[in-house]
Amino acid sequence: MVTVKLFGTFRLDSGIKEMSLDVSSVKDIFPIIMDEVKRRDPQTALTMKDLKGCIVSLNGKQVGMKAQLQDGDTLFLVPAVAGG
Amino acid sequence: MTKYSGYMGKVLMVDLSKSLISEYPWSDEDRELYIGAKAMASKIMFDNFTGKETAFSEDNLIIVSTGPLTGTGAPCSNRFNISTLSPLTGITTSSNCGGNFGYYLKKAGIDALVIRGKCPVPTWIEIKNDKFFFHEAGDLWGMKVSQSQEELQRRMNEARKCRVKCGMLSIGPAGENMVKYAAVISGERAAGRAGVGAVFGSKNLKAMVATGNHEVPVFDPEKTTKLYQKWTETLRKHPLTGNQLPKMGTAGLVSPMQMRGILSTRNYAYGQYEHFDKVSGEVLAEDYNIVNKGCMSCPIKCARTVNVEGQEVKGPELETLGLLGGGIMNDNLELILKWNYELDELGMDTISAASTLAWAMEANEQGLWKNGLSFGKTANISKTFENIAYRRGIGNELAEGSRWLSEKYGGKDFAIQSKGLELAAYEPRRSVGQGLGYAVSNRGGCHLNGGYLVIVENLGLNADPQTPHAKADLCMLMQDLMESVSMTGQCLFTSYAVFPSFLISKPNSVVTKTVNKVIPFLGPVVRILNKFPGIASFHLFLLPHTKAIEYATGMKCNLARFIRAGERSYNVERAVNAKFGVSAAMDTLPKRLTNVPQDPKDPSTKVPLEVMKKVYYEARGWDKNGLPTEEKLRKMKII
Repeated sequence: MVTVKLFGTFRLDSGIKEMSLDVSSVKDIFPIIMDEVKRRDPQTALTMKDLKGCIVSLNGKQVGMKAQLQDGDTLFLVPAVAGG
Repeated sequence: MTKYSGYMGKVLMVDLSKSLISEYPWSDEDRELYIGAKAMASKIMFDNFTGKETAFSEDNLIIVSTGPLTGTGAPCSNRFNISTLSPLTGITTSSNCGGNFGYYLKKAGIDALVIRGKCPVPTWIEIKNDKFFFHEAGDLWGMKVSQSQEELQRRMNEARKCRVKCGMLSIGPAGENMVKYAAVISGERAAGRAGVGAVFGSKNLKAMVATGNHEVPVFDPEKTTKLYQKWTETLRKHPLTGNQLPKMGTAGLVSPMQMRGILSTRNYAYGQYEHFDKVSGEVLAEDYNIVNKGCMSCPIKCARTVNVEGQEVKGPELETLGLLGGGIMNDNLELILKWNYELDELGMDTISAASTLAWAMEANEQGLWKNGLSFGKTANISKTFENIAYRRGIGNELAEGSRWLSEKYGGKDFAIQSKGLELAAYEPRRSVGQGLGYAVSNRGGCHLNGGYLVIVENLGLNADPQTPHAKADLCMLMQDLMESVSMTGQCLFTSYAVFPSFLISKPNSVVTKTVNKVIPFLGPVVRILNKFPGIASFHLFLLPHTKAIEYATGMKCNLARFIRAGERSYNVERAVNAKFGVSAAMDTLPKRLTNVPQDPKDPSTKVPLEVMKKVYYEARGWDKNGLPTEEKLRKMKII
């Protein structure tokens, strides 16, 4: 299983903080998360584009969509933001 | 008097020693060159300081100044500036504040105050429609900030038999005891950095209250209103100012900084904190934020409100979360909320307080100074902050800041400061342009005065954060633009719309990736713009500030004049610092950041400072010693 932790406004808007998923590649996580978002709120304004706008970090390092995952990995999904 | 709208036309000299008020000469030509706020304060310091003054000498000045857009209804425009000689750095400092004092100073008919001398006894000053009343403040002395402000409001109400609308600023015990990083607080907002509160304390000045019924004149009300409405809409639609900042405030940066490896951790030994998600903006928003708050006239409302011991108080900003979280290895968010409140009440800068604490923890660990402070040990921190404010025990030395401590005990390599000012929470070894900014910043290790290149390298955009290419020229451009925005009286967040939405919201798109790849090659292009801003003699849709100046004041403005005014501001501030001995030799970072790679396996993860500094001075047109030449100052019409 892979642990996916969400951050930023996507997390606040969807209410999803964390999911455990049985997936082998980064690209596989997106449709599953979007399904969960829509299950929680069928009227959601969040889209796949919002989700794919996130930076993906695997075990502390930024990775692309094709990155392979292993059992026990932790993925962070963080929207690109600024303003301090 | 002035021919320009937006200004009240009055700059006053306040002599505290004699309780005398006089007009300070400030002409329309000065207004054209320096616009207002921080830039005008820097010019006044340049004209008055010889280089022999010290922060606590009576001839030090405190300049409280507003911008021409303050009070005109422009979005996020009610900020004001406090400039003085800093006791922490020994050079100039400017602290920008979102409190309400600036707005009410203009309601009192005044653009700026130039304060000198020293009150013979503790004093608070009441300003009512440009009349000044000096009141003894012996009974306020010792009060924490909110108690002091509540008492002042009560006195104002009692004297007029009604609720008086007024702007205030006050110091707390830290300012009274001249803690070198004491703040001035206006409402709940701080003019926090580099010890402006200590200078107030040294002058026996506890507080100031302004009230009045003047209206700020606007040159073209119809055009101004339309522009402001459109501008507000743009800010509300932008992903940063309309979504991220309202929902999470600056605290929302903790997580992306962790991802990028730039979250200061364990006194900057690392750039990632294992437990960052316990002290993040997300948890703050989900579990603690009661309501968003903003400064006057702000559509963004980035401030948080939290409950501390039964009271609704201001929540922490990113810097405080970073430095009192991973910075000292604390994963307890509730403690950070509490400490943030305590520091505000004592009237102390959270950045320098936290960073000095982190240095002391490491010094203790290394056996340089046995002080009882340790990373991860939180039980004695509240007491330590109180001891700093009242200068008790080890607090008396901690009150001097990390540079002073490291000079006494050793440990300079890990005193995370530049020119005496502690750095903000952005770890620059994975954001080398930000590292350059910290080092060359006029007020010392400041992320904003340093140009905030982290927004180009890590947050927002992602232009190669390890390469020095183009960083010097970009640093200069960003510094100058931020100077310009500040001098209008507006919040720097009003300039974020300059980054087109799609670049922020679609970081993985081909366009954004291409932009990120191209930026390091843009140095020569940016250099041309920096050198010949005249080519930008137009208004830029994404920077409405230039039109706002024209419509609100009647003064000619465009992007070229705007950038040039920013450059002038940066140069005059540097020229003041030169009088106090600043040169290239002081544009430094601690060795931890320049000599020790953040990732031991990747030698590029440190700041290549000397390479960038050289290019930066060239870009600025300064000499090899990092100073503006006489010719440069003449060209900029500073002398």
